Amino acid sequence: MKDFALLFGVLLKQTFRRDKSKPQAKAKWYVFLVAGLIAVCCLPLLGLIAYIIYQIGQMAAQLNATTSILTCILSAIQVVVLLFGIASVVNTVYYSRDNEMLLAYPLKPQVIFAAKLTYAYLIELMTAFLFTLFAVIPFAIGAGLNFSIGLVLSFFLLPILPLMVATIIAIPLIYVISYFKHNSIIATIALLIVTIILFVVYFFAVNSLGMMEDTADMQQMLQNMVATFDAIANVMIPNKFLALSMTETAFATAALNFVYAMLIDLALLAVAVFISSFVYRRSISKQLETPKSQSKKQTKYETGGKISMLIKKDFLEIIRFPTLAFYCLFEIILAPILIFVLGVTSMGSLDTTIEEVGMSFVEIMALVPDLVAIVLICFAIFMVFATNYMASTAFTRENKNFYMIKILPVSYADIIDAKAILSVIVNEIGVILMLVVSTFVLKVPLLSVAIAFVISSVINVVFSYMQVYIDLKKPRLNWENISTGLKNNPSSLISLLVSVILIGVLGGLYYLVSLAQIPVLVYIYFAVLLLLFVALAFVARKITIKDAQIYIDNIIC
Amino acid sequence: MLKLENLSKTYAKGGVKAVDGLNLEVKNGEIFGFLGPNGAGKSTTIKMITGVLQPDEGTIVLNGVDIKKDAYVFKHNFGYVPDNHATYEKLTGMEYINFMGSMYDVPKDVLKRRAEEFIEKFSLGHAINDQIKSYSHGMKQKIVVIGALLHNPKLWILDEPLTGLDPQSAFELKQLMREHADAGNIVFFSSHVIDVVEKVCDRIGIIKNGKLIAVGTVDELKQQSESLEEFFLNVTAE
Repeated sequence: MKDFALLFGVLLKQTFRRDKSKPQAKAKWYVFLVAGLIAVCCLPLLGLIAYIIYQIGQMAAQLNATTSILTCILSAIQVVVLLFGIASVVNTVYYSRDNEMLLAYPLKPQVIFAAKLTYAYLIELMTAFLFTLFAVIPFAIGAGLNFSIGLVLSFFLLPILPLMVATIIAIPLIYVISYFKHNSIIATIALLIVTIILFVVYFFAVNSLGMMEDTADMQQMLQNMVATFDAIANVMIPNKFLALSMTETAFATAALNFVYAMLIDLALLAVAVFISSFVYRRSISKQLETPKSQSKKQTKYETGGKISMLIKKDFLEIIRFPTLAFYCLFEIILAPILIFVLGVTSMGSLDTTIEEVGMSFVEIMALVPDLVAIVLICFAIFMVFATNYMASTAFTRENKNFYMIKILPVSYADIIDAKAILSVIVNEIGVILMLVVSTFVLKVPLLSVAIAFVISSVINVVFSYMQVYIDLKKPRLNWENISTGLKNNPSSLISLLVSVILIGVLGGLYYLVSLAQIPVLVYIYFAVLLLLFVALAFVARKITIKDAQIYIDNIIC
Repeated sequence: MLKLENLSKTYAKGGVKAVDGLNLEVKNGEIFGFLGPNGAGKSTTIKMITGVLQPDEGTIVLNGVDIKKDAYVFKHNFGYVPDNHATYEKLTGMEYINFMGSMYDVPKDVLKRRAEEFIEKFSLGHAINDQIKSYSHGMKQKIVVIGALLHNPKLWILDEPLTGLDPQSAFELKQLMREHADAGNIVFFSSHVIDVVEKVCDRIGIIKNGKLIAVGTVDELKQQSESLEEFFLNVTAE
């Protein structure tokens, strides 16, 4: 226990203690102003989300399905925690640089594993807290005291299931990556394919639980929805107990349900910990092995342009680092998969005539290609550009090699361009895949696809330079594992906020323009958007390159 | 010629000068050894010469090119081997060589000729298509050395270059340093190993608390004490 506490304490200090060797920058007034503006801009959106969830809560009460719907919300939060956290857990527990050092200490592998897992739990707790805050609290408005108590306690239980799943998944994952040690590109591809399969299986499993049938009868539709939620709740037993601990009015019953939930979660976690700690040492040793390869590759000398060689270097560095590649390339598959699953699960209903309007969904889309285009653009902004780690880690991922940027006889403009171009290429692949899937699976009109492609492509350039710029201002160069380098990365957080604001602005302006009901006005709006973002792209590049000299020179490495 | 004039650097933390008004001239064709106890300012000086750190005061001029005025040309003229051999470990040795050659605008035929010569000298041929992460400590040092020499720099800077090298490679590296200097270039290296410095260097500078406290040829410094080691211990004693 003493060893565990000592190690856990060190892990916390290593992550959260401020680096006192660096001067503490005084926050400037405009930083507060920008933060305030962002908060003000985000408030309506957050308010809208809260309102929707509040309405769901009211509807759930009317349908007598509060427990089932709450179970589903809790499960959804866990899926999000798992998606956000799996790479982090795997990195912290298995792929951390300190593993080699720790294994040499007189510590039991189980102690190291437990300390790292607890640390991972703490980090995931924060993610769970954030999502619970937005997803559950509005749901609970008007609920009793038991709900509030249960909610606070549930914060602590929510990350356990994702953590358990992550530790179990990690074991075969490590063996897969170790198996492909000689070819980490295959390991990266395998990792992405496994993720795609997990995603698709998850969505289809949820869908198959639904037993929903196409119907235009609202009452029947609600009944089907409730049946779906009940079916999911019956599978997610610990979450159902957790939900019951909040919805039960009698305190004793609520407390008992919480205890059930806790016992089941802890038992599942204990099994996972037992299995994982049993193979922990072997797993770590396996990934620390550095076998000699029998490479028969032909030695080939080649030279190239500086930007192209910098892009190649960055790409190879990413693609051969499976966990980093996972973060950086995930955006390519995320949006297309979501649209694919959405399309496939609603395949039958796309062409079905909706009685109220006398048209099918596909026919409606053909009537409003401009609306479809703006939805696709917003989707690309949020699901592709905002989740882009390629640009938001442009300098952070250099880690101890950052000095190379300073010593190489390459202009900072070339370095910035190389970083941004790589990001633009990856984003563009994501956008193209998303649009192709939309065209073939959702049967989106070609005009919408064309508009979305052109405007998204220009926004892509703006976002890439912006993310590179933010990362350049404050790169996190001292990381032990890539997750700690990426967690709370200012560039990705700010781009997420900017994307939300941009979606709000684009959507809001589109709404205002469409109010005039003059079709040509909407296309003028798109043309203005295009010109505006082209100008912004030039400005973003110019500012980033101009400031690069100051920022790069001032970074101590 | 490498000329450091009134070079100073203070880190924000503590306000102590890591390098304090350092003046130094190293002539072309010289191997210059930079000695000093831990924390004396050796690495800070080297980092300023390479542009990794910005000096608070002073100038750094190499063959008439001021790093502040024309960093691009200045960087083209030196090669750097850091003490931690940090490099792009996910690249193979071959990819790293091609990358460095492109960065320093080395023509393909020159790149091939020079790389093959160094690869053979350092016996790296068997591992050149492997990722650098699979290399041993010494092999990483070798590939970084090769990367730094591909463009035949006027100034070759090495921070603790012999650490981790096997005797054969250490010998080859010392020989390479001599050849590079004999070709009219400057070799500037820091080390803690006084025996090596004594054997390899034409001139030596000793730094303590950020100030250059002694400069001279090995013979000049040895005259002031029984041995170079004793001289070093005497002048650096608190």
